[in-house]
Amino acid sequence: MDVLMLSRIQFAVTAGFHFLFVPMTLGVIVLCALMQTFYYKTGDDGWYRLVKFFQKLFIINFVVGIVTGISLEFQFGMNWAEYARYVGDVFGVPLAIEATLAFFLESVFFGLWVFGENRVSKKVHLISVWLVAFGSTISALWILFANAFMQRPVGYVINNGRVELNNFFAFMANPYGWIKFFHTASAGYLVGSFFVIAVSAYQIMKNRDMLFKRSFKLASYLGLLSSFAVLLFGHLHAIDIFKYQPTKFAAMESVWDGGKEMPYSLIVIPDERNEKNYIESVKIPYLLSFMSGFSKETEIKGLKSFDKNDRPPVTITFFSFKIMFLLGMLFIAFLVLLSYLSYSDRVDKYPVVLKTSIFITPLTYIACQLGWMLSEVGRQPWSVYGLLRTADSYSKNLSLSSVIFSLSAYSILYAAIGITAFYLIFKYAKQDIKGV
Amino acid sequence: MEALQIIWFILYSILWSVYFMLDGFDFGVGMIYNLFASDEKDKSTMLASIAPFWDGNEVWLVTAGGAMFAAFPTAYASMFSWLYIPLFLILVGLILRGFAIEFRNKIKNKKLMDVIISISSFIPPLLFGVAFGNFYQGMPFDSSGYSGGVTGLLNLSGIFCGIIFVVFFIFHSLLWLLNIVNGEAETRIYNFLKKFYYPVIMLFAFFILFLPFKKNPYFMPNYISYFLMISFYLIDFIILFLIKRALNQGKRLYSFILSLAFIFLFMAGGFAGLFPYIIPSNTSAIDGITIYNSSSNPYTLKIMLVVAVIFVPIVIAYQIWVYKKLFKKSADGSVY
Repeated sequence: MDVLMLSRIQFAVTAGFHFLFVPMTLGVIVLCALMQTFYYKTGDDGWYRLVKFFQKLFIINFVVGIVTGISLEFQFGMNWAEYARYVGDVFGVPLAIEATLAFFLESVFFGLWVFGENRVSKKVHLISVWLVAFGSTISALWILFANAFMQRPVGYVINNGRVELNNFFAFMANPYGWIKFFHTASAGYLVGSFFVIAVSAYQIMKNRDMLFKRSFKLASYLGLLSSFAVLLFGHLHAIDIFKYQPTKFAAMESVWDGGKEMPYSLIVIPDERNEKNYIESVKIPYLLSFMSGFSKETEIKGLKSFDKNDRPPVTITFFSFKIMFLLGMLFIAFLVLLSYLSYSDRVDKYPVVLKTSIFITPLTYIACQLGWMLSEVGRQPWSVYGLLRTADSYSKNLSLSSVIFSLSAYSILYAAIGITAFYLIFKYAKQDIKGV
Repeated sequence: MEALQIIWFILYSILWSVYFMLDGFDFGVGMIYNLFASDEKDKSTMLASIAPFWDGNEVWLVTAGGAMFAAFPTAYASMFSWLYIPLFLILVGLILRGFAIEFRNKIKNKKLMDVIISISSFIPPLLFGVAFGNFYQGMPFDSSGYSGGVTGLLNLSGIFCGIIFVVFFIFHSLLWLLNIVNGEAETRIYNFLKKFYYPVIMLFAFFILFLPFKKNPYFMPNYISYFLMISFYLIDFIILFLIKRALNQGKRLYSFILSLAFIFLFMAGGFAGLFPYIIPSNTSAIDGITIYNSSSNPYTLKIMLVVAVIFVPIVIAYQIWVYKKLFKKSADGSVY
């Protein structure tokens, strides 16, 4: 283990932990905002009680998201100083804009939404929840544009041995950023929807209050819409990766020998060491070529056509992608069922479905983590694709002992926070709404 | 180009100064609420007074960090990697503090939470002070990097500024709390403040006489920034007296507003003293990190300036508005 590897692990641990709490908040705040809107429009106090109920759960996740987010921004300077020097001119821009445009909006109006109910009019209170929702979603936009520059750098020139921004509008027009934003934000809505579905399912099963059929229904609809968006933008994302990150694409499909008229194999197990696949069967002719470029003549580059030093870790990239994809399909199928049952107002008649929905929810968290792994592990060995290697990005001045210290301390701290937070989430999710 | 770099130095200074001006009082509340509360009700009143604000205040830190990354990437990379351990401890403090403030009333073991909040509110200001003390007097580095290590930061200026930050923020928070609490705790705070006022003045006077900037052999201020530094510090002295007078006249909200200005100008004076350096070197005349050798290209600075000019005033406007809406001397101490 060296400083580089430990810094990478530390970034993975801190970002992964942050990402356990954040996607859920994107979806839950939209659902809260919708329910509060219904309350505002109809005056029906059932909606109001639901908002109060889910607000508590939102707060726990939101706070953990905030406090673990700061250390991410600082880590670019602390552990990745060479990276920061090389790309700061471009990469710092979306981070600074994110703080100015999004973080202030979320945090300030989060305060007003949670504490200000009796201090402002109902209308202003409603606007504040929408502003939190808006702030959360645009913060995702800016951070993903920062990430998009690492994946597909645009709008820059190389000057004095570093990258400099020369076209902000080109930077903001990065298709990688837009596609990734829609893919990831809708994934967040999906996770949030499943969270609300699972909690509501539990409450319905306990026969507590049939009020939860409303939140169940609303979340099923938003979840269904989001799951289709995730799939659509996921597909566009894959095409974009095919064009601009050929090494990642070859790794996620585990294609060793490329060519035209490539089939799509349903069952594949990569054998990274011997540069082949252990198993490769149930082939659908031409499908991979066709999906990548809408023509069977599309040429796919295999991993062997790249230098070994330029390839990402294949096994992790491949399995993250495939499992994420399968889970995504499962979510769609299940959400179709839930939406149908909700629409015909019969969910409470099927305890099996309710129970299953609780068990599927953790899978949405896993799918998010896998998507992130695919994106970042698949980008290797580059920190900025094609421009700067991860191995050239870390802080050269750090001693091994300081990084061991910080990584161990982060792990202990985050384990403690994670356990407490999930304990509280479960506690409040199981609480009787009458006691809220 | 030079003008842009100077403008960005001013913005950078403002962002950090506003950060300390705002987070300063909630750090202070976290450090001392256990000492001044008579009972659980007092404690929750005091914590409830910062609960809606601490995260919005902390965004100023995130913005200052982000702006530094975008405007002076080399300075950002050097400062953060050289100060790895202290910054890491600051982050741990910030993480624990936010977590504990929000979860204190959801967790049975309140004593433990009180200990966590006190310690985690104490560490970041102390270490920020140590860091700024080192910037003020310059750090030992040349073209091959920083050579002082962690222990090298614990010099006289560093420790002195660490204590100053802690004391000033406690002072700041007492003035805030005077606007919040009632009854016994209020009297206790008021009586303490009357005495605590003198160490604050003395520390500040020592600071000005000692003036850590002068310890750097390569300290070569230009006239304007030197003049600004001295004026900010002198105005700050006057503000301290105004705070005293406002307290005697019972104008408590006004005394807190003056205290905001006090912290802001104290920080701003420090930045004026550093200009044009972001991190001065005290071992090499040419390797000091200035706004000229560490900035992004003019195009980036321009883009960011447009964003800042449009949005920072909007942020300030709605943040003040929300403060006004949520700020109220509470009689019941209820936490959500």
